[in-house]
Amino acid sequence: MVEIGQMKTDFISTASHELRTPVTSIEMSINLIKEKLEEKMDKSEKELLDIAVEDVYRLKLLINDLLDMSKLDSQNIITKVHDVEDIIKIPGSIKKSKMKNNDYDFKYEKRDADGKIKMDNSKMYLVFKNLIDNAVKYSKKGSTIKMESSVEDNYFYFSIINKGNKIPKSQEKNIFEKFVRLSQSDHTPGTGLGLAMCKKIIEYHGGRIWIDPSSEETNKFVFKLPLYRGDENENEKDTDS
Amino acid sequence: MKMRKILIVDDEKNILKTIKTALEGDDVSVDTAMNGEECLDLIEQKEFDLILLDLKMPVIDGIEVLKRLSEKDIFIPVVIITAHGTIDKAVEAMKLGAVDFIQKPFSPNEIREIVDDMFERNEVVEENASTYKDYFQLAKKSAQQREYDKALDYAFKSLNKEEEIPEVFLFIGFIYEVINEHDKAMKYYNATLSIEPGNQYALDRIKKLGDSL
Repeated sequence: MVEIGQMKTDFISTASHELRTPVTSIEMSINLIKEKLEEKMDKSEKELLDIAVEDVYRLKLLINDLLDMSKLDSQNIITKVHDVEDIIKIPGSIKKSKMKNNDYDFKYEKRDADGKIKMDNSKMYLVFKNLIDNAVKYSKKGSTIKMESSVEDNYFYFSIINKGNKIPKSQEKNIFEKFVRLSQSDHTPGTGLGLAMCKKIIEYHGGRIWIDPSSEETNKFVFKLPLYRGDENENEKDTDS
Repeated sequence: MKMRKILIVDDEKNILKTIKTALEGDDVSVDTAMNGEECLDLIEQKEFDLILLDLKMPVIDGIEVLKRLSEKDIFIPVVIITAHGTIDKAVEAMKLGAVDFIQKPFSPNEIREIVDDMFERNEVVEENASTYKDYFQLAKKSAQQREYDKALDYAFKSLNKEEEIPEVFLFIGFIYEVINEHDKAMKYYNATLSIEPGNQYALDRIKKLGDSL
C-alpha cells in the first residue's frame, strides 16, 4: 500500500515536472504576442488572447497544486511539536508579502496564547496560504481581510473573514471537495484544489475546518487544531530537530 | 549603453526561441545553443556577458558545462534554468560559481528581471552599498568568484539591513553547504523556514542533509 502511494506521488511529481517546460513556452509565446500585437487587435481578438493568458496562468496554478496535493500523504507529512506562537506567526509572514500590492487592507488579531501544537509547519503554511489567497481572490479591491487566532478549550482557532462573493449555503459543504469552485463562470483564477488541500491537512492534524455562517455579506472560514498534550521528553526531542 | 551579449543554452527549441524573443533588442544580442557541446564551441568563438543555462540536457549537461568553464578559468555569469526537482544540483552549481536560478514556468517579464538584475550587479560597489539588496548583490558577486568568506560577510551585512528576507537566509545556507559546514547550513535553512515555512528549497535541502548526516 505504501509502495502504491509512493508510486502515485512520484508519478504526479514527474508529470508536474515534465509539464513545466511546455507551459513555459506557451506562457512566454502568449505574453510575447500580447506585448507585440495587442494594440493592433480588435476587441474579440483581445478577448481570445486574454482567455489564453488567463488559462495558462490557471494551468500553472494547477501544476503547483497537483504537486502540493501529491505530497499530502503520511510519508510526506512530518509533524513536530511547536510552540503555539509558531503557528500564530505564519499568517503574519504571508500577510506581509500580500500587502505589497496595497489592494487590500489586512487586519490580524492575535490573542496571547500559551501551549504546544504538533504540526507539520510547511503543510500548515500551505493551509494559511490557500485560505489567504482565497480571501484575496474573492474580495473586493480596497476591502479589509480580517484574520484572528486564539486558543480556547485546548484548541487553536484561526478564522479569516473577507467581504466579497458570498458562498451560497448549498455549496458550503462541498466547497472543500476537490475541483469544486465557487463559480465556474467567473474569471477568478483558481484550481479547485486549494480548499480540498486545507481540509486534508487540517484533518490529518486532528482538526476541523468549516464555514461560519456569521453574516450575509462576508465569508468566514474557521479551523481548529487540538493542542499537544504529550509528555515533556517527547516535546524536547521533537522541537530539537 | 554597451551591448549586452547573452547566450541561451537549452535542448528545447521552443524555450530557446521564446527567451530569445523576450530578451533581444537594440542593446541586447542573443545567441542560442541546443546542448552543452554547442555552448562550449560558441564560447570559444565569441564573447558573452551572460549565459542562461538549462541543467538537464543530453550528452554534456549544464553541470558539465560549468565544470569545463571552470577548468578553463572562464568566468561568465550564469543563470541556471531549473524545473522543479533539480534543486539537488543547486549546491553543485553554486560550487562552480552559478548562484542565480530561475524556475520554470516563467513569464517574459520574469526572465527580463533576472537578466537586468545580473547586469545591475556589475554596477554595485561596496562604497555605495546601502540597502539589503546592494549587499546581497555583492554577496552573490563574491560567490560567483568563489570567494565564499566574502560572500558570507556581505550576506550578513545584507541581513543587518533587512532581517526577514528568506532568500538571504537560504543563500547563506547554500554557501555553508558549499564549504561543507553542514550544521550551519541546516541552521540557516531552518531560519529560512521560520520566515517562510513553505520554502521548498529549504525543505529539500534539510531533507537531503538530514538523510546524509
